[in-house]
Amino acid sequence: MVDGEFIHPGFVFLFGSLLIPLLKGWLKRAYLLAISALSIALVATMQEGTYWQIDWLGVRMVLGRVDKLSLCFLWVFTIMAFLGTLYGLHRSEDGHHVAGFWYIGSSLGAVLAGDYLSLFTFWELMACSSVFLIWYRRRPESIRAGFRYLMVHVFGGLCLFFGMVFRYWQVGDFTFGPIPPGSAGVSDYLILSGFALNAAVVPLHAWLPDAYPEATVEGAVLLSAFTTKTAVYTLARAFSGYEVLALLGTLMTVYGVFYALIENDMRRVLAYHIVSQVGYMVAGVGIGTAMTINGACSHAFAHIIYKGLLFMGAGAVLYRMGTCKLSELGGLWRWMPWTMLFYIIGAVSISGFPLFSGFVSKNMTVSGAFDAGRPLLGIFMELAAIGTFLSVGLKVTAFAFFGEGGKEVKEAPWNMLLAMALASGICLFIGIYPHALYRLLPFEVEYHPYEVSKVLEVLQLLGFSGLVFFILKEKLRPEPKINLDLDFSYRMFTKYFMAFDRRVIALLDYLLGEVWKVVGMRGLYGGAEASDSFDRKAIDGVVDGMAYGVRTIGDRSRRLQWGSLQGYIALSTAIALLALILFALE
Amino acid sequence: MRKVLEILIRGKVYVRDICLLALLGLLILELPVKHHGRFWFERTYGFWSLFGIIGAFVLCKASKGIAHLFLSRGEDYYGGW
Repeated sequence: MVDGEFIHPGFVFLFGSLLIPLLKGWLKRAYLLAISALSIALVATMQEGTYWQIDWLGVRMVLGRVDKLSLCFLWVFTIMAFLGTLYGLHRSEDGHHVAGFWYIGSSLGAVLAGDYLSLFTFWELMACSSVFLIWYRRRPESIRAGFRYLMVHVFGGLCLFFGMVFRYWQVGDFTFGPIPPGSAGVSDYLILSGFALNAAVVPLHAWLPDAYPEATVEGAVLLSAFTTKTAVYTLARAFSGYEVLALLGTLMTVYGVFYALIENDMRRVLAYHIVSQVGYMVAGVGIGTAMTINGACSHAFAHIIYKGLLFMGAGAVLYRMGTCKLSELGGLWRWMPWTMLFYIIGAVSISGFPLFSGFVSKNMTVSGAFDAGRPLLGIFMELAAIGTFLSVGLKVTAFAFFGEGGKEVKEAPWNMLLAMALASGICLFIGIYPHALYRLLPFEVEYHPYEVSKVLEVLQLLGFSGLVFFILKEKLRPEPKINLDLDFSYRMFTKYFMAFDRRVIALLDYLLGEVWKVVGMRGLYGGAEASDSFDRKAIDGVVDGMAYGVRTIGDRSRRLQWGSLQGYIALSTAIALLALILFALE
Repeated sequence: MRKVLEILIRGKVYVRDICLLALLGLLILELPVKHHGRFWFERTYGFWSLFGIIGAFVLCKASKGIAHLFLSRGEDYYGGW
């Protein structure tokens, strides 16, 4: 695991997970936290460079590419790994912890990969390990959602696989680096689709709001952080400046909040918000200026922390209440005030209020869009910012934590609260001291978030949209319904395919069985009887006949041998004489 | 923590009034600010306030409207699929 100064943090998680089943109680918890903390320390001491180059089957694999872009994501991934581990510390199943560690480790591996072969390996490992975080909820819905999640990701993985193989045929190596938009061919667009699927780019997004709300309380926190942001990293690495990403990214920002406004399940609201927030990053990568790519990276950083925090809050509600459907919640401020406080800090951060992390990251992308001469994209991103505040900020808070209803429950466990408190602290720290974040970005930053006009712009935008919320509040009351999305296509296909299978295929199978019984079986019986009688009469007749013949000859010849030597000599002489006479007569 | 919240919720009316005053304050504060931006709307006074109102209204109405028109289904619509 060591190459000079470099220790791969992903392998620390992958191999570190092997000891988890051997430990018990506090020792195990301390161990889980120690591994996560160790990974942060490894990233903190990491130097830029290329490590762990392996020549394998004539292909050069690079497992440790450390530069500014990968370091930015490594920082936030390891911080989130620590927070997520702390949040899930109470979980008793070792398998859940192991799956979590494999998921985190393979994400780190994907970020550090410098070639497509190792990237693809970690990419698939991510999908296979993360699905257990859904299955461990053990509900029938979760099992099915997990299978759908896996199938969609296998499809995405195949796109990536074929893309990289075709690319290898064309260019002759697996190096994973920037592909200029002008020179991109079919293979590159296949790779792009594989990445876009993991980034939940509309229309390849439906797996995300389908699967994440079905995950375990602790698993959803991890899921919200790694898969989509690893994809954002790969897009930023290879596909910056692609117009299609700029357009689809902007579409995502609005599409996500649109659904978030009408969904009822708290975690599904948040899942749709991932689509919206990742939209800012994808659009930033697509516009492709230094400012927007910085915006995408800083937003990924800030987003991972506050979205993790929001999922922690929603998870704590689910953990205590047994549901997180807004139509069944209300008045939780009485019983879970700390959870509410931390949730609100996350909500205010995602909405982009000044002094919180979303403000210093999101506006970088939006300003970048305006500066790049893309006013329409910028305007739609601002519209999505309104929707974010309305749904995650106001709707969820108003209907889950305030209002009436709900039941008396205990506050969340200490480890959940501590993780939420730490995440809240990071949101505030980045908001107040943005240069700590800007220092990590891939390009030099010429951006000052706290200009009077920018602060006023955001406060007016959010303030007045909040006013509209309180006027329309009753209209936005969540209903116990689900909403159709593009997962409709494959879920209905499966449903109708199974119905077709059950009715038509099963009927055909039955009919064929009957026909076989009537025609086939009779034919078979007749054939068997005929062959039996042929066997008995014809074959046995011949064989038996030959046997009888042999026996008769044997019997006759036995009678010739009566045992008297004189008799034999007399008979032989007689035969010889007879032959002589016959010969002489001729 | 809970007590602070109780005080705030009991004084709901004051909180609302303070928020409304704050919104007014934002508009007043913007008066002396000199805007610099590439596009006309970035330089227009009160544009983002108006955009906030219209945007929020359109988003609420459009999302709820489309949901009620054809997106909304019963919770067991997929019947396990």
